[in-house]
Amino acid sequence: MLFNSVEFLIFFPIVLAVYLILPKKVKYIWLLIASFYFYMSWNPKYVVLIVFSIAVTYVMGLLIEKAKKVSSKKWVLGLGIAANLGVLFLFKYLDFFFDNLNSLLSAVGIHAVEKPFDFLLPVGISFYTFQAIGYCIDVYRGEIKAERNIARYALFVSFFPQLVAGPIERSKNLLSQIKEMGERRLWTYDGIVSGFGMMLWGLFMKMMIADRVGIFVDSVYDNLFMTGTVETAAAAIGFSLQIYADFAGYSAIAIGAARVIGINLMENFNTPYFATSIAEFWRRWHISLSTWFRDYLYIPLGGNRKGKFRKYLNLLITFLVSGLWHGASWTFVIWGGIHAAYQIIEDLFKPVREKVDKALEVDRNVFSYKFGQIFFTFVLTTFAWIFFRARSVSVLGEYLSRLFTKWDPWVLSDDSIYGFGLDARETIILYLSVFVMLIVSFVRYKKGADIGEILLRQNRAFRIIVFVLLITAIIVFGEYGIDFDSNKFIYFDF
Amino acid sequence: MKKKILSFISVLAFVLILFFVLRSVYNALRWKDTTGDYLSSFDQLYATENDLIDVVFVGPSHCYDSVYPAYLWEDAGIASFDMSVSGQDRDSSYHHLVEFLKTQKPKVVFFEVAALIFDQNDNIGNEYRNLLSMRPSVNSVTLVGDYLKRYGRKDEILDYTARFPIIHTRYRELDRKDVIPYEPNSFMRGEHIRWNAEEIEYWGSENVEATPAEFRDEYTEWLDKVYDLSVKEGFSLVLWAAPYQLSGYEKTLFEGVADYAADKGLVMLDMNRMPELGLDVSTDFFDTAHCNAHGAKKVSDYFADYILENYDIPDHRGDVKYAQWDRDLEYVYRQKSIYDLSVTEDVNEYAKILSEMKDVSVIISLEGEYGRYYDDRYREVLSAFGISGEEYEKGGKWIFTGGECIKGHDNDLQEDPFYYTLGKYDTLKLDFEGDFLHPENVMIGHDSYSNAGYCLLFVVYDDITNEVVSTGRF
Repeated sequence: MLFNSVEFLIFFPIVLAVYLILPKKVKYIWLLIASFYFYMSWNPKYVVLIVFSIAVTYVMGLLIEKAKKVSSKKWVLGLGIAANLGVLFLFKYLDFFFDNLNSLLSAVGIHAVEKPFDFLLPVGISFYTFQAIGYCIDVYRGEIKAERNIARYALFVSFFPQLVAGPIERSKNLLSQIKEMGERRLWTYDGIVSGFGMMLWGLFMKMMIADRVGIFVDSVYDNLFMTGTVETAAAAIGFSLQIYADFAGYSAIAIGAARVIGINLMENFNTPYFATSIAEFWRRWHISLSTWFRDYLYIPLGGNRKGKFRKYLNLLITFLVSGLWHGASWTFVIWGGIHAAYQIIEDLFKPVREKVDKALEVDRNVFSYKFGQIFFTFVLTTFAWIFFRARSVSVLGEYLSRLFTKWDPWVLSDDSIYGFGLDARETIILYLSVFVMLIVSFVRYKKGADIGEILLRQNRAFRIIVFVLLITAIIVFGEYGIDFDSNKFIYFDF
Repeated sequence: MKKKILSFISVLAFVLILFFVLRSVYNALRWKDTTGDYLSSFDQLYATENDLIDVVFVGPSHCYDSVYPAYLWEDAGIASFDMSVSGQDRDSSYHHLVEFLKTQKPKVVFFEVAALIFDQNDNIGNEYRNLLSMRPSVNSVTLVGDYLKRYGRKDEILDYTARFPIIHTRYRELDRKDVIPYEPNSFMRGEHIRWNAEEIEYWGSENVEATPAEFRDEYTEWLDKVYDLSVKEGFSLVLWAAPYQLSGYEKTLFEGVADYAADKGLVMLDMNRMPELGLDVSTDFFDTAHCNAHGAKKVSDYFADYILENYDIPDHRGDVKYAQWDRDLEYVYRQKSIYDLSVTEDVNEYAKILSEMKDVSVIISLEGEYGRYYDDRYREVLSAFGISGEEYEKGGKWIFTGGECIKGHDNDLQEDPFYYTLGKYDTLKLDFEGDFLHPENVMIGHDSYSNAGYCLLFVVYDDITNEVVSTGRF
């Protein structure tokens, strides 16, 4: 059940209506039922996996808390992590493992090994296993107490707005709110208005921008033989927009839906393309995952406390793992490596850059300097996204070769650029939508609040106009309906 | 408290504004045959006051091409209607009849059975016409469910029910007919007017060998549903099959319907078994499956006689409540004139037809070499329009509308262009750019209707449909 489906349009109001009339003390049970129904609407069989993950980490949490010795706690924690990562490996990385193993074996002349299973990737598995692992580590560190009510804990892992693509929540934030559900007022007018605004904005980003530009990007990747520098460059920029509008849009809907219910989820995107460096980009992009890796991998590895070399090594490990988390393919690993390399180079050359700036009397506080930094960072992230989108090393090679060797500016004047799924009319709609997104992002950047909160500060009449315009734009110009089938959120695959 | 009241008011205002905006958007985007054919009669039904229609013909294109309610009105003042949609399948025909019965109480329902010869629509336009041209209601949702379940497309039910997932992409093809209602839908009675003819090989059952065809249980169930509805609603049900170049398989199916009718005590009028209709294969058909207006005249006359003989149906002619039928009849013959304009090559004939037409604006442009190299062949024709000999010699451009003649342009290079509003939203520009080949001498909106090298040009603008229906160059 996608957020932008008619099914969700029916599901969510029903969940809300029942949630509204139920007593506070049992509301979480209803949300748990709704969450499981939501998850099972994809593939009922895979409910077994999430139940397994919940059961294992619930028990591990209790055992960790109960264990007296640190070594025992470590063993239990290790077991809990291994069990979750084992499931993740089995369903997400087994194919990748066997493909690489067989490549190696064939290189030395040994027959290929047959895969024992052939699974479809269960939706959301990377998200909820990481959330559950994070919980175990928090209990181990003593940052929270182990949850004794299994239903509450199950809701923490399976809470439907963020179940399939995050934000990857921390137990300190989400679990504590679930525990308080029986005590505090959940429904507020402001929460509903702000949450509704977030949901609409998320749908706008997804259906007006991500899915529209996605048509062009997919067409370019599917027809690489027709392309040259202009198309591949345009598709690279297009994919930067697509993945942002898709994932940030999804996160906005998730955060908005949770806010309507009375739960505050953590921020996941904070205008990442306004970052002035790659390090800053990662403080603004997929914040729940970057901070997860920071807290549960980078810092335990030693972070930046053990000298420059270890810092760079830790950075490299963290980003390679992050790349692999996104998908079982070498292109994702390379993408992670590129981002690590960007940051290492950025850090290494920082003193040089400062000296050059000083020598040339460059004023760093002017708009043009900052704009240049933002532009340069965007170019770097866009280039890296090519590796992320390529899906295979051979496609990547072909793409880069065309990008750098087939200069074809005439496609802009002979209109053949419109032969990749988006005609002039659709392109204008896309430009206008991106322009709206740019304005909203700028306001977000300046005000430091999300669109739901910003709208809440405005007059009622303005809010009504914005809501009506957003709904009408989505209904009329959104990419959805019978003939449209590429509307899956990109991050569901990770 | 004040905050709560304000919050309540703003939610209410939001819901109301959203409702009105989405309703307007829906009305523009909803499925309509804006390409010009209008092969669903729902808009025409919805434009009809309650309880006016005495006789209804239900069926697919076979029905709207074979029976013109205009002729039944002309013959006997019978207030009839074609509840007819292209590709109307079995599920649709039943639910369309149910929809019709919501506002009308017909005494007789003639139920065409050509739906037996096709199942799922292979034409997406026909599927939309059948599933989406009905107003949203429980009945329309039930039809969507029945249709899509039958063809194993359950996952599309929500999309068809919500409609926007299907119709929203029409923003790419909107034209003015989506925004401003198509005038003929306010009075037409469901017929599809086609005056042109195509010769077919044969029609009628005696010209074809019957071949085996299974009369499936689902056919009987379909007819049973309609029969039960007739009992429940108290109308007389007559089954019928329109005349066309049927196959042996279809002949057998219609025999099955006749058997069914005999069992139920119903009448089955298989017109393929009525040589007395006198249909001519060279003049009375539009194609192998459909009658044209000449054939429809013969079929409709038969129905008029049949109804008068068997039912007590009043003659409503002269009753102001039935003005739609008068306009419909006038429109059928008007379409005949438009058809004749398209086929005639004789300028006198063309002018004669024009002079008899109502609700049209006629632009006449006279320029070029007609005076020097040609004889006075157009002088007499144009004098009938009130253009004097002096004006004829000078040339120029005129507009005739509502019985009035307006001189538009003198073909003088120095003269400014002349602009005139045609119909509800078109603007005519008359000008002279120095030669009679110039495309901008006569323009309506973006479209050029210049003489294109001919000396005499007629442009006929339909004031009812707000479009150009004929251009004659001589």
